[in-house]
Amino acid sequence: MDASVLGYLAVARPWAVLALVAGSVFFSLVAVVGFYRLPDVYARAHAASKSETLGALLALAAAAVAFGPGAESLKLALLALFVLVTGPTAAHAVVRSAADAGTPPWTRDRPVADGGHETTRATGPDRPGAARPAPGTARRERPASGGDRR
Amino acid sequence: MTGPFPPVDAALLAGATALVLLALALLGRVVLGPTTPDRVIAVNVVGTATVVVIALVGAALGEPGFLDVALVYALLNFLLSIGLSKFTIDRGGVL
Repeated sequence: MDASVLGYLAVARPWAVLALVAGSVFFSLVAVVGFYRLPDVYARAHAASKSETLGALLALAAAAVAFGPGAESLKLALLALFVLVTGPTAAHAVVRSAADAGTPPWTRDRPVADGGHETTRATGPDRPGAARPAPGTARRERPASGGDRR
Repeated sequence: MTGPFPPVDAALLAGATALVLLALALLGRVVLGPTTPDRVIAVNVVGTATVVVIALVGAALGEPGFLDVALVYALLNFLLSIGLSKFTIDRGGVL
């Protein structure tokens, strides 16, 4: 490789690390703000599965750029692939368990408990361990919700 | 000190510090999240931030062995979320 190209790479590498770290911190901040501002667990799962995953991928890319090409970057690429697959999968599993347990989703005309602002805990079956709502009252009915599915 | 101008180690450590602070801020949602899935998702995100911080500190200190720790921690984090989400409902079938 040309020596001038190597010189440009040596100049650009710290700036690339800085930009990737700054993007990671920005998207993680977006995730934390979303966790505090969004109204219910289904909306917060968006902050968990999208913003936080993107922030994690950017930070792992920054670490890979800092390590340089080699076995470490390969290991970081595997770690990034794992985070990319498992982060949204875990959020999906948790949200699906919440839906199967009968947590009602937030709507404009029926606010549910969010923990940060005022709660309507007395009117909604949104406590953990609360009774499952009657079919067709509060939540969208799903065929065979978790009963016969492994 | 004649390193590169934006020092790479300092940038990585500053990013790790910011991510630790954001994860600590997220623990508030673990405390006041009204339902159990809120807490599980928040703990999952804190674990993801921990994986990233381990990788960043490993890159800043030049320790490739930290990446194995981060990989194992990511596996345990995923298993924690899946296990808790299967535990909170009656039967399986969350995936």
